[in-house]
Amino acid sequence: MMKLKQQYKKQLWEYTHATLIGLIVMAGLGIIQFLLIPLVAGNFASFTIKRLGSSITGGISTALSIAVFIMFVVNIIAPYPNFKEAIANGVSRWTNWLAHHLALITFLVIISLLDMGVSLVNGETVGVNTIVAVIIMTTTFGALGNVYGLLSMRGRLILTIGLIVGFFLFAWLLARLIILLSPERVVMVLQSVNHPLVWDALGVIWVALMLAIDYGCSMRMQLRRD
Amino acid sequence: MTVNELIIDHITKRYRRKTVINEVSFNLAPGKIYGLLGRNGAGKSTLLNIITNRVFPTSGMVTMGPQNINNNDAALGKMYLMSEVNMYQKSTKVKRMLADADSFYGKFDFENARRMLKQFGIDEGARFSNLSTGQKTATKITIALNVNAQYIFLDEPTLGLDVNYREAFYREMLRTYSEKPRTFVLSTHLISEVQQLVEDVLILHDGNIVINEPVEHLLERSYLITGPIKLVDEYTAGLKVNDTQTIGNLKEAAIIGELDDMRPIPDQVQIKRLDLQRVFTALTNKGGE
Repeated sequence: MMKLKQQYKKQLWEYTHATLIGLIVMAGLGIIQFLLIPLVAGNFASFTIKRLGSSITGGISTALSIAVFIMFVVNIIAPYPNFKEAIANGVSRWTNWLAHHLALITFLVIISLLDMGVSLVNGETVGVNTIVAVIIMTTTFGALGNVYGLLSMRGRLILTIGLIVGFFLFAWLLARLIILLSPERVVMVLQSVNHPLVWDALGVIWVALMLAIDYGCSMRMQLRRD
Repeated sequence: MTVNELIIDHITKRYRRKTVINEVSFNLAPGKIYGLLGRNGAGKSTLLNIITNRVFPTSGMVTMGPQNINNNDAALGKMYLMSEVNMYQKSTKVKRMLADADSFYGKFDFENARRMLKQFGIDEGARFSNLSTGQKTATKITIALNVNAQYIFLDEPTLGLDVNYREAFYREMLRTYSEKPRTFVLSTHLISEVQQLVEDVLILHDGNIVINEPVEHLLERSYLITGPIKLVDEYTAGLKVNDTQTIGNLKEAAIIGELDDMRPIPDQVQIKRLDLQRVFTALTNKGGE
């Protein structure tokens, strides 16, 4: 239990640290842009408190987007280095996996709450679609990151090229299918399955599959020779 | 706290078609200093990685008492491996490595660690990746000797260290061992330097453990027969000779095993005891046991 707590704290700090760095970089770029616009435009009237206020509101949304993006990046890069550090400190694969996912859930909850807060302030309706999309993407990147963790440098390169080629092949096949079936027919087919339950079920199946891959790879991870 | 024996049970490791470790079995007892010796590529690091659950064996298992160590936090928390491979990310600072050793193993001896770092001339605030090879080794040694674990595995603990620092390491190891007896397993090529340090020796050769016994016993039954070729050949006829070397008309034959007490020793033949390094070369040279 002590190791789980320590590993959880460590992983949560990793997310926070990466997000903070991302935010500082983006804030720096934002400040430069903010200061340059009136200078370039030669009109200091645009430099108003109102503009500053709207920038802050929009800034929180941007910050949340950056945090989500960083979460994706960490999920794809971190599994193997995290495993190495964990096992070097006598932490088992299971504890490392659990701690990682607890930290991830904590981070997701914080982001979701902030996102809901921003939506309420802006008078928008609070929906779960965004968070569902984030969960699907996070689990997908997590699974991919763990598969990468099992592979050698050559294997990772082959997989990356394979994924890119596969994506374009899939897109090409889809386009061919749409042309072959006619766009009207495709719309009809999509409408026939367009029920929230179908999409929910597909989402749940996808997330479960990604988590299974994530777990399976985490439990098989070992020190690589490269 | 009760510390169980570490049981390495029929471990085999294959990388594709190459068998690196073949059905290796031995036990490590609490509170002893072991030397794990083997030539380059003998599988020492692989074996240590398997024992500490960093790498999976192809077959066999490692248990601490009755418990399998795989995915076992309690068992893994009693073992620490100082490896050649850097297990931390490049930007990691030395002080974070010490803090991790404390938070995951508990009761890290910060006072002694800081004293040792000072002795090795290492700044706690330095990034690990910015240190020299010797300093990296010294940092890893510092953590390994001050971590609260019962089984400490040291893989090439003197890599890149000059003779002064090597001596300091041996001193520190003996000091910490006398204060808090734990099991140390030293995997090294500097055999003559560790001969006085280790109690038991494990020699890994061609994927097998060819020797697993106290150093004292091993040296008691290790002989070097020297003299003219003809006389040495006559004396060693029928005995199992592990290694021979010939210079001009002189020959030396290394025998690890019992000599025939009834056999008369020719005048020009001398029988000496072997040291650990010579025993090792005799066993691991081509044509050795």
